[in-house]
Amino acid sequence: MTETQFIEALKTQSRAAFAKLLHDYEQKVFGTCLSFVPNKEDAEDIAQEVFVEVFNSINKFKGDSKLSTWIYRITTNKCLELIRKRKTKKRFAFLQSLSGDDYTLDKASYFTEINHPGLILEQKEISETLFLAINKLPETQRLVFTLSKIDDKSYKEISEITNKSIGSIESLLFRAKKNLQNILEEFYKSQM
Amino acid sequence: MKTDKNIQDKVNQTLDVVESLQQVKVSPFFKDQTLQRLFDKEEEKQTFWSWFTPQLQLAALVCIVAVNVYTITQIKNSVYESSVSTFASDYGLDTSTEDTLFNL
Repeated sequence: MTETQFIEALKTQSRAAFAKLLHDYEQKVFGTCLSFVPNKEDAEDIAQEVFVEVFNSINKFKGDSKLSTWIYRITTNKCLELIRKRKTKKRFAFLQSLSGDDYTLDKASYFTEINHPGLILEQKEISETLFLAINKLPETQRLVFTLSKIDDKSYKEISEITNKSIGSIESLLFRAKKNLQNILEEFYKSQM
Repeated sequence: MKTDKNIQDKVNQTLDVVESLQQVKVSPFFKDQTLQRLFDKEEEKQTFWSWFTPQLQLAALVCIVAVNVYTITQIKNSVYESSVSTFASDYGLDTSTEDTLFNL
């Protein structure tokens, strides 16, 4: 079955077509969700929302991009949406971070309880510090860094998902790394 | 100087942690739960309104409009006539029952 035929089958909302879609994409979508939201339950909830959105919007899919790109775009949007929503709830922490001199990487102000089963136990604390630091990045830098470094996507894939050129992906990634370096440096200095 | 090096080492160690993240398998029930969520809602929606096809909807609309038009015309005629005659008899204006000196 070609991709066009598969998309047509999805548009008829056939159960068999969606079963195949889930079989092909459940792990990939869940993996991406877990890269953005390091909590297994939250990541599964978002992944489910992604498939519901695909089900409801498949008739609007014009085929301008690959099906996988379209699904990843929905996935990243859903993840960023949840992070934005949860961040505004934790308003106090958010206002603190706006003041600019906040180098605390505080778990209490993080948008979820970190529960990533893929973290190695000995490195749990250090991995949590990294997730808390990523949370301080501007949204576009966070998006590119997460897709590239945690979800292990290629520059080409990231460029298709974000609709940005490979040059701007490289530049965003460079700035994200630099910012992370600064955030972590200040954090470790404050710990001394 | 030594502190700076320590900090830099810690930063590097933190940034390198992404390399050691292990893949996490999605729950084995995820696919079935999601399919259930997608299609149970759909089936429920379909069974409730599936009998009410667009043709049936149009026929029902035509029937309702026809019945309404007929009822309105009937009400207009009968109500007007009966209310005029009731008014006339209540105020003694009904010519058939009126007694005058000339009718005697």
